[in-house]
Amino acid sequence: MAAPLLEVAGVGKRFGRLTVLDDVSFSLAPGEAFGIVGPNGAGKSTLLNVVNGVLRPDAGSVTFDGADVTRAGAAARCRAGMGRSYQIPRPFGGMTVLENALVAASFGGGHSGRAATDCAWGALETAGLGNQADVPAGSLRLLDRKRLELARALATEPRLVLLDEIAGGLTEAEVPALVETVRGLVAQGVAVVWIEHVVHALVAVVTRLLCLTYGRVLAVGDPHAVLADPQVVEVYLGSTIGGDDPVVEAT
Amino acid sequence: MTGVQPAAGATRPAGTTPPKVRRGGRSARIGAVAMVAVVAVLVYLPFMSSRGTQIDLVGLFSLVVLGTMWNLLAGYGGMISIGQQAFIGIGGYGLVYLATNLGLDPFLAVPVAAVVCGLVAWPTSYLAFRLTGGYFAIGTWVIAEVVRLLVTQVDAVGAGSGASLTAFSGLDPVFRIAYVYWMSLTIAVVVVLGVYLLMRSRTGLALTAIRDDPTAAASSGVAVDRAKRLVYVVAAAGCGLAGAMIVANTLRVQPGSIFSVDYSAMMIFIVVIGGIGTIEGPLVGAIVFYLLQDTLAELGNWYLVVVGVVAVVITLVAPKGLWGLTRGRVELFPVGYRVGPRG
Repeated sequence: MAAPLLEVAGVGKRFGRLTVLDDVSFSLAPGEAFGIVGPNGAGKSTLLNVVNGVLRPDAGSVTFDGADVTRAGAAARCRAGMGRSYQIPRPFGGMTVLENALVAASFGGGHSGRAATDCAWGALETAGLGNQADVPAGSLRLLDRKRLELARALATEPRLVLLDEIAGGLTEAEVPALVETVRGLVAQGVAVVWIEHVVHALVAVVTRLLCLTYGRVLAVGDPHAVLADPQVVEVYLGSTIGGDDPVVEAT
Repeated sequence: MTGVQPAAGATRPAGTTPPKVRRGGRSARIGAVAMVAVVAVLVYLPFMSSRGTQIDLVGLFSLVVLGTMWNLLAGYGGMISIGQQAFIGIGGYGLVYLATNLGLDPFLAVPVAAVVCGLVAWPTSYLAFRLTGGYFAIGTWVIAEVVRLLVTQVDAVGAGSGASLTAFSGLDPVFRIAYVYWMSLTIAVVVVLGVYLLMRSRTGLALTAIRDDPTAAASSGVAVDRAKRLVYVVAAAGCGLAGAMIVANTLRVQPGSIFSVDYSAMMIFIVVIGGIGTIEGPLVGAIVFYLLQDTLAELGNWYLVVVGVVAVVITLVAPKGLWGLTRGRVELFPVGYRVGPRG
């Protein structure tokens, strides 16, 4: 087995007296697609914040590409090859869509001049924003803001991309196109950590799945096996059991 | 849900040729020509105007520098400072100390004083950057007060009563005023042009991103603290130049006036009235403030009331400042990136 690209070991995070993450560990091989599910408030976004360096963990370590990055900032991790999209979009509202991607291409991707604009443009095309390049990002609607999150993450030319609920809010008809986009990334050898509530989109892409609840790893492994786990069904899918969720039926 | 577009990725063929990116249009070229003409007239001005006009215009140039620096801090760096008078004061006192006490040529002392401001600002930033938002603003004011109190302890520069700039005494006033005028004009042009070039550079792109969302900027690979520190140091040096200009113009420095928080109020007025986050805005704001100051001088205290009313009206009518009324259609200093027409 290849050396892991990302290794999260025993990570803990507290906000005051509230334990948000407790002894979370997982690792990711280069090019692997990894999914994270869990109920609201399970600590999924906090986990991504610890992985990409927006938050420092209180315990444990994060190793990226063989280097301990636990104390490194988000910018350094991004330049090392870690792209990130936010669940609640954070566009650079006063800049155009192209300029947003250009920031990521210039600083995350390390490009300048023509190479930077080409890289930014490629990311916009992939994310489906090519026809809105000159639009101020602050005037985009929610779906396009989500696309911009993806475009910015891609423009950093990551080896690992962290996607936080990019399918949330998409219509049923739009999900397949997104699944194809993420599959395309994986096909190019980009490793993906994807948090998503749209479970069927996730299962269509990822090869391993982690279920997080109350900041702890409840189950990790083959997606179908994890979703069939009685504990996972109880805490996460409990309300839909026996319902018409295609994933539950498929298992 | 209304108006949901299909994901464009499904309909658009991947890998279309990247378009050319434009960084300025016709208005920028016309603007550049106009700017050169204005500067040329201003350079020639001392040969055909009174000394009083020149002294007044040095005041305008210092407002341009101050507004441009505050805009760099707040409009691009996202740092609302109300303590830039610390560096205005160090610049002014620096000029007096270097020229009078150390015997340095005053025209050389001005840039040296600015460098001193930058050198002071660099370690200060580690203190100030521990605070964010409103706390940062108050922190900068506290730092400015500390600097003022420290300066009033120094007998070599007149302690609490201030000092005079005597280094020009050998110079005929006609020449002195013209030289100070040209120096101030040069500083104003260099500062505005310097900020323009900075904002067109990669650093400018990083700063604009930081202004809009520092967390997302960091996650996109921008070294946020380093860029902000650079801006803080540059803005300190720029305010130091303005302080030195003011003292070279009035020949007198006093702790109460050069470290006055009024300077921060002026800078905020200039930038907000003119248009924050644009290079043109502070120029417009400085001219408006200068004209108000000039025409309302005899009103006494009512002058501040009128300035306040003007500020309220303009923020209501033009929330993005006077330059914001152009809605981005006119860019004299284009810093953005636009996709050109596709061939």
